[in-house]
Amino acid sequence: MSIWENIKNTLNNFPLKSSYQINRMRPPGSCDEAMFMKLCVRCARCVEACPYRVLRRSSATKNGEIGTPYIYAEIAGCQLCMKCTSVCPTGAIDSSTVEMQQVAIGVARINEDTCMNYLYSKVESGEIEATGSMALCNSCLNSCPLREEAIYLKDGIIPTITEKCTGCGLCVERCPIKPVKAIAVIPKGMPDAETAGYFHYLKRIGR
Amino acid sequence: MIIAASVLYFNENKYDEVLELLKKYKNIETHQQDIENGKMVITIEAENNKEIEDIEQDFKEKDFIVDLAHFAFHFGDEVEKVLSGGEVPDFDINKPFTRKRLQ
Amino acid sequence: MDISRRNLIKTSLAASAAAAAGLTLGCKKKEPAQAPAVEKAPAETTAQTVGTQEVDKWVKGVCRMCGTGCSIYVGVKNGKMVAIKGNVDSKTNTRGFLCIKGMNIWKVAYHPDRLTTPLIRKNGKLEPASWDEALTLIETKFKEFHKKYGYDSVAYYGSGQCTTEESYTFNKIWKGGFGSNMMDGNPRLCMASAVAGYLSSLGSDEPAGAYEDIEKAKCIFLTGSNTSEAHPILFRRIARYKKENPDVKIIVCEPRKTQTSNIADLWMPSLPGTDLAIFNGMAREIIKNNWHDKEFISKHARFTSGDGSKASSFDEYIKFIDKYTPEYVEKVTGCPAASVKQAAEWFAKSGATMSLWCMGLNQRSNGVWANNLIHNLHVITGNFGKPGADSFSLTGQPNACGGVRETGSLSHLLPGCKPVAVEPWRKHVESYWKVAEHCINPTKAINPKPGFPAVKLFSSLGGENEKDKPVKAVIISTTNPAQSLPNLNKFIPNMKNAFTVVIDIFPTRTAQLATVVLPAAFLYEKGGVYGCSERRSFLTQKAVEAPAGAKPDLWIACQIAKRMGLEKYIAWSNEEDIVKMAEMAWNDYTGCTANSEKTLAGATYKRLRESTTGVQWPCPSEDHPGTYKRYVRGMDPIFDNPEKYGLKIPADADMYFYGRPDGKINVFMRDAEPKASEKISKEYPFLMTTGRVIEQWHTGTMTMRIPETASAHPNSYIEIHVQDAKKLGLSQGDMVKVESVRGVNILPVKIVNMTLEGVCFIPMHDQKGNRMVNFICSDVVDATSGEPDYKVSAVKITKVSGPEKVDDRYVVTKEELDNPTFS
Repeated sequence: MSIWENIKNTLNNFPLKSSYQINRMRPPGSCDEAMFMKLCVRCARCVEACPYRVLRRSSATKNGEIGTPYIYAEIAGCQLCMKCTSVCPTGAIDSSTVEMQQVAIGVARINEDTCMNYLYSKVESGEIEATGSMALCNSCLNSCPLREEAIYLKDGIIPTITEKCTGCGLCVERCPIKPVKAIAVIPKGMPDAETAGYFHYLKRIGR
Repeated sequence: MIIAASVLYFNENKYDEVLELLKKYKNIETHQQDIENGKMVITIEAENNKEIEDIEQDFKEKDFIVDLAHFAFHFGDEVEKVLSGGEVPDFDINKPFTRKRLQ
Repeated sequence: MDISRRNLIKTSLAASAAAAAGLTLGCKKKEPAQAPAVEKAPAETTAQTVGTQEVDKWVKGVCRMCGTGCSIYVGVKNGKMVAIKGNVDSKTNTRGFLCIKGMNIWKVAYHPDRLTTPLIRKNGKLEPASWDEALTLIETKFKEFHKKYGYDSVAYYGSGQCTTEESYTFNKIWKGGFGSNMMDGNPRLCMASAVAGYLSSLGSDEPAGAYEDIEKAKCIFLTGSNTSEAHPILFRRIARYKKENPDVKIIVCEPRKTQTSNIADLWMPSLPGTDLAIFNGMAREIIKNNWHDKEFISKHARFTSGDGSKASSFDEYIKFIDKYTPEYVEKVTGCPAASVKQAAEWFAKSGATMSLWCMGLNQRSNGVWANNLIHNLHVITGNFGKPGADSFSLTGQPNACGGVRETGSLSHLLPGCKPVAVEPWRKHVESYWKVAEHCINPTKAINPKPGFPAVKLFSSLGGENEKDKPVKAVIISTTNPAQSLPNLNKFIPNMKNAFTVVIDIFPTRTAQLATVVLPAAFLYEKGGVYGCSERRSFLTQKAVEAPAGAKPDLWIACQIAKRMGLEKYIAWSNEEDIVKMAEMAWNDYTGCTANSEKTLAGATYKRLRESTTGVQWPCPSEDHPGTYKRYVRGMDPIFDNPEKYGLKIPADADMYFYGRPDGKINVFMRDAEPKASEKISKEYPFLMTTGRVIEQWHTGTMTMRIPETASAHPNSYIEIHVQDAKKLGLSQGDMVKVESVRGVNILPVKIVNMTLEGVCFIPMHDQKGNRMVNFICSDVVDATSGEPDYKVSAVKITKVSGPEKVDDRYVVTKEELDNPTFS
């Protein structure tokens, strides 16, 4: 490999490798992370176009993502109004995204150990002893823009997320569990326990 | 006028001395720093690139400064001057990147 | 080049340099466009840890929210509430389950908006005053109005959230002390049709059965109720039962396909206002297929046409309902004919069918009729008196049954839920109260003529210069009519012009219009008895002290009584301790109704204090366990000694509906056509219906101040069917103007596919002026019960703008008390 090629490869890969963070998603219709980092020129038009002020510019400098738009689900989830998709000058956000069903910026995961409905059903089935501290809550279901499609209540109680989940993060915003929400959005492309399998395991043990 | 955004690499054990040094320059602003790895983002505001090069020269004399790397320049009003047709910059890429060319 | 621009350039240059250098830096300087750090989680926690959290003591109580009547314990630490947990022994919320609202309700007591000083409006501004000053003003005004305009010019408007003792005391002051029936309560807006339905069909108010019937039913018919959101704990009981017994049939009849329909075997959609046709259609199918219970009909049914005075026959009834063929029903309601047949079969043949309904039937221009028709279905199929068979009306407020229906704190009732017009009972109450001795009204008697029901009361309310408005003053306790009445534009000026006294713990829309605002104590700061939907009375014990300045409603009632010269009449008005005061009021009340079928004579304070389950009336003596099922010999104690209650029950009757003179349930021939309801027109082409969501409760005064529930459902919106949205060119989040002939709302759109086409839904909790749905609601009332028709309004929808961030989690603040902005 010539030196020239080496430099070219380095440049191509730099600084485009980004990091992922739970509950932090790209705007709806964004292309995959590496391409997004290549295309995004930090013009902030999407941030300006967002009527709900949900999109925010990143201040994190790790891997050069500073200035790029993110949805911080714990502060506010995306309402999927698609006002940001049409303003992107470079195509980092795909302007053909008009229906909320097209969006896939992440997928929500429920923490079964803290979600109140899970605990409730565990008490019902006798797995946990009743102490009177179980409360019923359907906030994630009610906040979902694709209610019954992206999320439904299994047996009328257990919130279950389907593959139609857009990753908008509204459920995270509205989840009443404190201090750590019982639902989290794994941004698209982020390896997590369910998709990354062995590699996730390696990562977890610090290799 | 030129604004340069640069990364200052320094000996991470001598952070205080770096700060002392930077205090001398009114036209330098610090933005972000990673003390553990001895990196710091600064912006230098100068009338021309001569001034910047002088600063760079000064810095490199200090043993606790590893390097000063400029990452981006902004030419301020100069650009408007060019756009209004007053000056024509020299675009010949075969020429070496010299001080003269920047002026 | 100006400074800010230069700074901007520098910042962005620095950013790109940092980016290129691949620095993993914490930021030293705050940049203008950076994302704020995710909010630091507060130390408090929700739910799970509560049970194990260390507290000084757990104090028994009942949930402050919906009518389910969940039994709870309030955790107290250092004299402050810190947690709530469910009561594991409870009969209502079995195994101590709670919902998200109940679990967090204690938090509102420490909200900074709590009112702690009486306020008096001077020159248009509410200014702090002393209790003495405020009460003196009330006294002078009331005496003045009594003298100038008569005793009916001063009204009381209570609530299904006051304790039974409070409602009873106010009732006693008004009806016996002032000789005026000008007192009503917000149950008029939610339960009045059910009361009238029970009274006209069964002859005695409140359900015959209990929640226990859910687990014994073979078929559950849910109609006019989004139980999953409005009574989540009860819904879970049903869902759990269904899960364990998949053979149990669940039928849901609702315009919206809500969570409730998800557990159903059959969802019967019906356009708002038309479901009476379905009930009649089901009755026709049942009789046509010979599924009806002939023995039950011959023993316990009385067929009647018109208002119930004229007896009729079964054949007449068959003739009457013949019009409601499944095909006809389909045409009118939009419910498939096959579903009507199927529902009729399950309803009649299951063996034990329980109907549950709520505001969907009650809040209607023909609400009483809808109630009657449900009772009809139960009579013709014999679904009464058996375990698991009952027609059960759910209440929306924790003490609408116990506090208002049973104490008779409505304009037409007396304690024991008997109409004021019924002379023997009126005479009994008069003598029990010693009205002739104490009444300040020269008539020295209880007025036999009913007062005004809520909607009429507020339209008759006005300033002194308004000749056509006979009511000049009103005390409003623990409710928020300036948000909960329909067609608000009509009533807001009235409340503003009149002498309005508001008793509440928070600034509300009503407090904004008030002349005097009195700060109240929260439920757990005073204690009292609440009676839930299933006739169960449960004592909440005082857990903590109220903040300085806030007083219990009962104390306020007593002060007013004393100042109006009723010191001896309200014997507990001189008591200092609020708990003793409440106990005396309770004893007085149970004594008053001891000879009615609603007797709680056995439910003494001592017993209620010790009981972890509460007591269901009729409960005539302390050793009586309480009654699970009424009207059945062996279960209902009334059968043991009917003479005591002034009733005659044949000795051989195993089941007898003693509320009716002949012991038989009225089967009414009620026409399904909603004549008074608003119809859609070319200009107003959509039917709008209103309702609740699980996280918010009623006008949001409390739930909007609990951080968890407020953020879970921060603002109101309009649900539109996806096809309608397409027609109107709307996309998710667009702001629309929803307009009826009465008022306008500006709301964000939520496109759903779970409602019927042409039907839209708006929840009612939002306090923001231009999102208060009751500006749009129709103020047509049911002719019998006086309950407004919240569920059917014709609206038009026009797009205003694209998506916008709305001002969410809005609550009325103390600062806004002086200049209410309803837009």
